[in-house]
Amino acid sequence: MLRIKTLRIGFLAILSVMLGSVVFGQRISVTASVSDHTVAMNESVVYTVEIRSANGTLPNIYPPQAPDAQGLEILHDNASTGKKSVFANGQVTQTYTYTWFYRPLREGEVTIGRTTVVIGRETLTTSPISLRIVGQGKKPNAPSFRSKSLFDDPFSNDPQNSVQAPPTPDVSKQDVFIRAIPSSTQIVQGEQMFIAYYLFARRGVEIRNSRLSDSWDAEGFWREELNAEANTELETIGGEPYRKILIKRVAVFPTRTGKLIVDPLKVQADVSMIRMDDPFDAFLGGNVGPAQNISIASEPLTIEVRALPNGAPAGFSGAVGRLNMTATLDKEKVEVGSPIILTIMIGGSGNIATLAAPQFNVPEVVEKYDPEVSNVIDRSVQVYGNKTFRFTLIPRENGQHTIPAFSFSYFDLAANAYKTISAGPFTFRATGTAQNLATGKNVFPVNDIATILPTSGHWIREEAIPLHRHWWPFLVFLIPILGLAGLVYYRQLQDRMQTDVAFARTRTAQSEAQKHLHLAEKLLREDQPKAFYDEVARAVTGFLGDRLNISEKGMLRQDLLAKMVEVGMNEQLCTDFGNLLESSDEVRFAPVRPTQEMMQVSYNDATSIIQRIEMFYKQERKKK
Amino acid sequence: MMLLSLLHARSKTLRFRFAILFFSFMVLPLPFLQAQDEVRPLFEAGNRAYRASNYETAIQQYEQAIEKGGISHPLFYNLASAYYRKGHVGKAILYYEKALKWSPYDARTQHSLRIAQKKIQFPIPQLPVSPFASAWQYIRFFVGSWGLLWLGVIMYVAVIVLIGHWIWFKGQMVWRRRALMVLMPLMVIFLGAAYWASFQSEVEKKAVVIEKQVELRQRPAKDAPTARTVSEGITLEVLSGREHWYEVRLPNGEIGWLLQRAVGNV
Repeated sequence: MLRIKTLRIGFLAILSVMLGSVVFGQRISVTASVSDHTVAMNESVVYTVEIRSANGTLPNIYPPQAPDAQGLEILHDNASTGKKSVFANGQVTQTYTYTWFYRPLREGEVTIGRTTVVIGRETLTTSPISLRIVGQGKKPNAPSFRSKSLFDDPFSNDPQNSVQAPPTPDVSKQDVFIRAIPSSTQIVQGEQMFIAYYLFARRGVEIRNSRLSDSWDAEGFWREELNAEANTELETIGGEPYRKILIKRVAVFPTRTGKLIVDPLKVQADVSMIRMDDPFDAFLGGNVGPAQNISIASEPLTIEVRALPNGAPAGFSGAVGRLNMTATLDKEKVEVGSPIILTIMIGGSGNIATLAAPQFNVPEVVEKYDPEVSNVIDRSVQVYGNKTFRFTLIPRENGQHTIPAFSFSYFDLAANAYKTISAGPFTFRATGTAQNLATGKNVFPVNDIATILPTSGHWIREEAIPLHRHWWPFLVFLIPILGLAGLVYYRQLQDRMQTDVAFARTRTAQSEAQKHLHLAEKLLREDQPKAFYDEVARAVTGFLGDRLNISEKGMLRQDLLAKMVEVGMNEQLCTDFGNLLESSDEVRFAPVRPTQEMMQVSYNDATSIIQRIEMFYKQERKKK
Repeated sequence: MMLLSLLHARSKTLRFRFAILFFSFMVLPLPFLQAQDEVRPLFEAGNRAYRASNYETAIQQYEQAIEKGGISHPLFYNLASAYYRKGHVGKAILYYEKALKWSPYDARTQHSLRIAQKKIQFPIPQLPVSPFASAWQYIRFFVGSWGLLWLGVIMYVAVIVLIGHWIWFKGQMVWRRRALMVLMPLMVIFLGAAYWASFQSEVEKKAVVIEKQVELRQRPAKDAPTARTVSEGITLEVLSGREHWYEVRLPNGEIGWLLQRAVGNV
């Protein structure tokens, strides 16, 4: 063993010295090729760039970019790579290949552009390649480089559906395949069943970039993906060692009876064969061939689904498994209009995701809303968990309300019999009044009208008369205008009172006279004759002076009488005015004490004289 | 004395007027209050019948309440729900619309109306409503023509006060001029909006088709060409009326004539 190792190291050392000595003498060529120059619309174009060193190893190669191609669409940006080393006649020849796959977009002539390859310090470019794209089925029969046994979709009879590949070592169905392993092929409706998908690869097969190429479906089943750990195991099939990789685990629940088909699982992968036939390759650990993009698919599965036995209880809605139910009310007392939550949880192993909410009735005065549904499912080994229904109930009237008992039925697989679990009844008390209805929460039945309103609310009188039919709003507009007019008038009045003395006296004459008369009346009641007559005299002389625009100071009786005659007051008024002042002077300056009757007469005379003077001026104004 | 006696006389008149006003306020609402006393038991009887799933009786009770002068959002709403339960989609929508007239943003009524409208045999798509129209509807309900009027009056009084201030205190004041420049357009806008809202409330008339199907005709005549068939429950805008016919606008803007007996006025 030690000897072989020593020999290998020695050989590599010699080889490296040889390579190093020929690196500058090498010849490098870069060529581009396509799988076929006439391609049908439903085929792929395989474009390969080959870098060959005819004499020596290749220095660093910078991976080239896929060239642009008019009328073609690249399927994957990343190229499939291959490497080949041949030692012959004392020389090492190395070949690198970069392969891309294109899809035709249109019929006619298309061109794949140049590919630029940077090798060490050199930059090399390929020539563009022209192709002809023809319609499906119009491609002339031509010898194909592709092996008949190339492994595409083993379940497809359409040879056109396969991927074109360069002439490379064949990949057979035995080299790489997928197996679907069901836990059972005969189950009852609703029963949980598992399917595991394994990818098998024979020794010497390298798989990269594997991905689901098509959607996987299982019509007639409810499906739940289970966790799948991608562990690689070794398994011997027909005496051959295989690597076995778990790629998918799924739990399925049949929703109907009969023979149901589970679709094949299709995977697209880049597969390379590792060749050991060349002694030199075998010595270096094998030669990895060019990658082939192939489609791998499992066999479809046929599952026979039996109907559940007869005698299902009323309310059974298809639940199968080992299940249990709990139901709780979150409180026993609630305000009218506030929500109360009834939580129903169904748990265990079975078709939890498809479970329907148990049916229960509520009193008419309690509103029941569609439940909030949540699932907690453990998908590690099998579908196990619980489904929770949270029903919101809102009492619209106070009192004690009872939710009658309700049940949930399922088919117990272990016991092979239907089982029924009950919950309730639940009782709660609603307090408060209907006015406390929760107004912020607008939750209503999804497909039904909301419940009726328990209280009549505010009664409305007959439909109101519209605004524009009322007249009084115009009064509202008029009042401020009148106020404004009054303000203007008052302002002007104030201005005149300050500038026009005669006018000011005339304006204040009446009020001043009234003041004196009020005081005189008071003195009359208090029986103070001198003070009374003094006020009476001031009332009439002050009023007359204001009306005649004569200052009170220096106002003589004769002057006043003369002025009265001058302005045209009648003789009787002048006489009465003079008599009143005379009797006033008599009392004030003589020791005679007048009686109450005399004082009342004088008061009445004074009032009468003021009224007559005022009347005189009114008549004068009218005359003007 | 004369002034005093005048004041005395005036106060007597005022007292008399106050007495009449007081009497009016006390006595005039009495028939309304009496009507309420008669209507409430009918409403409650309707509710009891509804809860017992006796929708026919519930409808009778609610309709009697309406005949006796009862107008309230819950009464129209419950009557609509009873009609819905009886399968009369047209009348259900009619009364939901009536309920919305008094409470346009009530979520319960809006929800139930939507549910009822799903039962319309051949629904007609509604033309999109502009944001301006939506905002105007919102203002009309929440502020109303009277609310707009009072806002306008406040602006008006403020403008008058500022003019009074200008009369009393002469001279240029920048703040006063600026305040007037702001308040006067606002006053015009509010008062204009108030009267516009008032006119609209009288002019706008909605109706709901209550017959299973009715022909929309191009002219108000039975032999006029049919424009289309309108299903029960479709809400229409009434544009004008002539004898037994209404000129209506459908939700999609189409205009035609319908027999008055085929629709219920909202």
